Amino acid sequence: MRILIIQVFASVFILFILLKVFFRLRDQRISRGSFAFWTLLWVAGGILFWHPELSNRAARFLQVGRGVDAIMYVSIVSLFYLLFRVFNRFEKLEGDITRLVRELAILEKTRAGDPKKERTGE
Amino acid sequence: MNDVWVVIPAYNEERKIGEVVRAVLAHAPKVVVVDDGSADRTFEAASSLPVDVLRHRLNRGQGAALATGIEYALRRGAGIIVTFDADGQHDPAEIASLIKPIVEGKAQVALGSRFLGPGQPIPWVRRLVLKAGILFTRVLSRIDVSDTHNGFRALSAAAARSIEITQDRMAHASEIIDQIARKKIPFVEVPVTICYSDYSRQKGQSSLNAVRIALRMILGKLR
Repeated sequence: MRILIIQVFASVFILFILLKVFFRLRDQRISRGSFAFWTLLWVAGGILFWHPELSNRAARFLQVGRGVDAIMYVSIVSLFYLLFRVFNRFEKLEGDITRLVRELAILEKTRAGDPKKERTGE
Repeated sequence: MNDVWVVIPAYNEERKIGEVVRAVLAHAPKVVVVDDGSADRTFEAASSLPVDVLRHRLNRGQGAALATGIEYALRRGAGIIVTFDADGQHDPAEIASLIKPIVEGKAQVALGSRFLGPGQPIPWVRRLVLKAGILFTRVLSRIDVSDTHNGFRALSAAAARSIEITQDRMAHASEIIDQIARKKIPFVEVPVTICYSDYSRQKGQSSLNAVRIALRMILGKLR
């Protein structure tokens, strides 16, 4: 079987990413769930580069035209969903930051009953 | 008038804050200025006056600054809280008439309205956008208010405690009205005058921003 250049590039790239994901898990920077999700995603992507005809099977199952179409549709929907999740997290973060800033403002003012002093000291 | 606190959220108002606070002090002794992470010396300017000044380390918006000021005033035992803009648009002489309905127990909230009193010159674009906002509020919040974006209002301590401001930025004005409607807080409108100087016009809400605020409000309600 001919090996295509894109298969080589993609495989190297994906292996690299898988390593990164693994290290993230090891350093406890991501959860086990996240690790499983991303690993699965990239491995699946990698497999598709070597056996693109598999996507056609998925396409037939979904009753869509070509394998590439199926991949596109699924990707777009997934991306929108992920974006939605990110947006929600962002909004929550903004609210959290505000709450902290507000709390800090009141704390600094009421600290030990003293009016807030200039940092240069009075 | 002992337990009346005036809350003034301020952002980059070093030039005006002294003048505004001094004017307010002539009518209400208890004032708290909240510096919303100003880039200029608003905090220093306000600190030199005989008022309480709080400072947000980061700019979080007028809604957040208002919430901080209100919480502080409540902790200090405020019975009535008046919200007042720092750009000189409001007239402190009207504070007395604003709090009157609350003092007399006729309402828990008094909303200042520029459309109730004698007609005032309002830049027509501003008027158009404000009218749209009123209609929008009537539909979304199901409450009839003649001036939906007026920072001059008075709240009883009970109302202030009950109203939760979550929209940091400018959508808080609509949010306050929305909560008044939902929680069925008895309110009245009081005619007030808005002074449109070149300064306040430049600093005020751009009419285009109103659309952004409207969207934020809708999204906020959907959450």
